[in-house]
Amino acid sequence: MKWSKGRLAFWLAWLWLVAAFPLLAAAGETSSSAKVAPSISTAGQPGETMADWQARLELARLLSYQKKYAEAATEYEKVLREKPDSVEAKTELGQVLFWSGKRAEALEILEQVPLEKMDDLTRTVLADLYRAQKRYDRAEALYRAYLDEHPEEWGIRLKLAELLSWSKQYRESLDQYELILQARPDDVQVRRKYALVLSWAGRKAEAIKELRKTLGK
Amino acid sequence: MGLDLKTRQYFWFGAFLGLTALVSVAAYLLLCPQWLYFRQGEDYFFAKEFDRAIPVYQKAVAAGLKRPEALIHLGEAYLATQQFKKALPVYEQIVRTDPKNPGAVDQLAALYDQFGREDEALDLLQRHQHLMDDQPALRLRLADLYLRQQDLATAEQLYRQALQQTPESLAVRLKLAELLGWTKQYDEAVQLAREVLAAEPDNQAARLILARVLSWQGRREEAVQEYRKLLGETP
Repeated sequence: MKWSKGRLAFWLAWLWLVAAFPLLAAAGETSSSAKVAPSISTAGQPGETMADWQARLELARLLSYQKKYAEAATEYEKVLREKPDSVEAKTELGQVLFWSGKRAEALEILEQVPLEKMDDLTRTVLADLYRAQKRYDRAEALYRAYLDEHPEEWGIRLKLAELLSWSKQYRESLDQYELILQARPDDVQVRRKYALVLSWAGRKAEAIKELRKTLGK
Repeated sequence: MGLDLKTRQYFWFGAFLGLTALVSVAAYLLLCPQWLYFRQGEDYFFAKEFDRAIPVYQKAVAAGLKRPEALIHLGEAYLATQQFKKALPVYEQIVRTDPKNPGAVDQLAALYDQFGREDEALDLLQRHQHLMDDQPALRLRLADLYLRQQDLATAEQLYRQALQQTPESLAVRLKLAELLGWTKQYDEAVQLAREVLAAEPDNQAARLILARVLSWQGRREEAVQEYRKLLGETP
């Protein structure tokens, strides 16, 4: 049976539609620009709040900068009630108690902090507290450790020199004084202390010579 | 007067062809596996059964489905189930196929950031800065990244642009306030923080920033007052 042109065209069109429309539908799958929901990741979200104890720690510091040591101590104690293991709060409270003259309490607090967790300032405060309590061996160890890291801290070296002389380690004390005087030869007060230790060590002629230097002779 | 035979024939032939086209499309959508999976995935997704939606979407995509919703909903399902590592390649694919999708760019940047891939997040956002007018979140995220990379000048510029774009945004105001505090532009930082507190007096983040900036500025008494308000201790 011979098909007419019209019939042929019809059935070709039909076949085309059967095959093509699904493909056209498939092609349309990529064309829509679907929206993405707002991002779930919260990296960098603004307005992060801080725990009360952290804000209180900052307040305590601010009060200590203002030399309001009693108020600062109160705030540090509140922090420690909430965070009893806070090294920051203990070391800073220790410093504040020290500066406000409450040495026994300062020592009690600072002895709760492992040495390796203390900053340099706190270690010198602890050393001063030991020195005041005549626990010279502990103070000496702390001053020496500090001076290993900061050899030109002449104020600390002077404290060590004094401490050594009080514990009758005159040779060691004089070594420290000589280091200070090499760096600061015009420091009259240090030279006078040096002279004093020389006299305690039985080196009176040298002591006299040093004292004369301080009097401009 | 009715239509002649030939016209009626053409009409019915045309209708038959049209019907055939519709039937073939319907058959495709109903019977083609990728579409079956996709519809099933959509059902689970909108019922919030994300764990069940994920494998079905995966099958749809693996079967060749190119519909953007499939990938996007797959990505969102991963996020909803906290599978961020698996979500990342999905969003990479979404951005590759539809780079003008600001939401996808933002989410991909967020994922890069989450996995510590800051440089890639930065690069992605820099390449898509042209989308920022439509998606302010992109500008904010880019600013945050510059901030973390210590490029404070660029971060400040972007935060200011974000504030111009969304002047009602307290969050942007606060971020800018904090940055200005770090760059010692204290007066403006204080003003911005106070603006946020005027709108939201209980906004703790704003009060904390205000307290810090006042203390950095040397206005310690005022800073102490703000800290006490923050701690709920003012009389």
